[in-house]
Amino acid sequence: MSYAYLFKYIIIGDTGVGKSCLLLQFTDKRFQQVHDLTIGVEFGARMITIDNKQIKLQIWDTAGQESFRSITRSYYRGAAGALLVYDITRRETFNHLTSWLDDARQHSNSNMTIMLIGNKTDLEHRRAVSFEEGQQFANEHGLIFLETSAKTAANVEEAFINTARRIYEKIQQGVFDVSNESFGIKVGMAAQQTGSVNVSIQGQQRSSSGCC
Amino acid sequence: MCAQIAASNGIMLECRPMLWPALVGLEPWADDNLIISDDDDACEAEYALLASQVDTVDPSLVRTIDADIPRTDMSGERRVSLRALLLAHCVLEPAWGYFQGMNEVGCVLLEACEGGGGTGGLGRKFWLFRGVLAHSSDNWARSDLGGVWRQARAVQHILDLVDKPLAAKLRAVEGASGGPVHEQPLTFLFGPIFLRLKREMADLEQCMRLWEVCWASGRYFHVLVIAAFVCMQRKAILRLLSHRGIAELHRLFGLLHGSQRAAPLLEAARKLQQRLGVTQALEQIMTAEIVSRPDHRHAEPRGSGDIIPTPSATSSKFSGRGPLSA
Repeated sequence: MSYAYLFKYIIIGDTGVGKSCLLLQFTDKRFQQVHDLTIGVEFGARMITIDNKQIKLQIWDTAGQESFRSITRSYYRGAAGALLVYDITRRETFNHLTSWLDDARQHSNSNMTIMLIGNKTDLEHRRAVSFEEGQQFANEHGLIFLETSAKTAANVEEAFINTARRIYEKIQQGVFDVSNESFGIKVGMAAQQTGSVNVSIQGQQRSSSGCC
Repeated sequence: MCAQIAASNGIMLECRPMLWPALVGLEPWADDNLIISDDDDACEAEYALLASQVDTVDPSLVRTIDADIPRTDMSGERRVSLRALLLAHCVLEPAWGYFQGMNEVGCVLLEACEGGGGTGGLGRKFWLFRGVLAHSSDNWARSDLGGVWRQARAVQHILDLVDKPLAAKLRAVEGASGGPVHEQPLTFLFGPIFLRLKREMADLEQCMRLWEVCWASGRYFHVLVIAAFVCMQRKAILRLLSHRGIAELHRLFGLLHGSQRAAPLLEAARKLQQRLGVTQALEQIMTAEIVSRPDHRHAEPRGSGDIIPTPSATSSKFSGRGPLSA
């Protein structure tokens, strides 16, 4: 299926916070209670629609253990969006967010959209991080924030789609040079056929046929 | 006997508890005879000493181990054994600590020790576990995972020699993604290299067959197996659209989880071995000192385990049962 844009995402966060389960819920609409450890990086994809445009999300799911940082870092560079995930039942995963954010900001492009996700809301009785704390962290660091449950699928669609919407808005505002794939955005055939691709280089809007 | 195993497609399940210690260098071969160690008591005593110190293990590592064990595909009883092995490993090898993936190595090891109805103390299993880890120490020994990329470069070298169109296609697909293709080629092979195709094999039996023949077949044979694995997907790879980039390769190889059998892979690897032998370039790649990339801030060897130990190289360490990173 042709797409107007392809957005590359990366999912990051401590081991065991539910990154792979979020991806599986989003791509396959199912939950796997026991999921294999992610070794290095794994990959998923799904098509969504925003503003009547088909957008393909190419999602890189990364290993959470510190030992794998050297491989996961190399995936920051070409990402338009990042889902930074913590587990609301494990405070240490929230405490490590600053380190993840530093890493992401150091190795990604400055316009990468970051969605902070507090996962496992189905385990409300074991909650160790309040919604307000998550929201405050997001506000302080300029992130979008949602709480999700990969198990019940609550807010999972929203997490991925709201991130895409924010990236799409940035494209409309001319924040990205979409001809430069290092921003994690690729213009597809569908956008070229409608001739509606807006390309901005150094803040200057111009029209382009783009490339796939 | 080692040569016979190398020429086979694996050994009988019941023989594994006896033969694996020799295959991983824990016990010596003498001509065609295996010297069965009679120091089980010493094995158990030394293991017991380590087990008594597990409360010294970094609590964050303990939490990770405890989170990973339920995610390891094995029975409840074996999970208790696996946890004990991993914690004792952390005591003996603080420089390596627990690296995710070691749980899956332990899973295979416990199947080899117990799957045929074998019993025995946890001490002997622990030292055997260490021997298995030693055979893939290139994967665990460096914080920048340089050993994994070294193996990836070796696979690429083999592909360059045996199938130029395939190698060129892979370069084109990876190049379209803008990654560091030269230093970290074949990123889709990270998992297969890291776990020595454990997840790609149809089941634990096939995995054990593959690993034991690799151990018996020389220090670089596993690289030939990985190269053979890629060559076997030749048609599908050549059909990929280059501009779609590396994601297509990840998708293709992700679909191969749980699909492979040892015999065809081993046969294909043997053909590569007959054709190439061990080339000088392959030897150079696999023994070269790894230079860290500047952006790998914490890149350094974990201890000195920077070279794949062979059975002969590791046997002295095993006889002393000391840390591999010391």
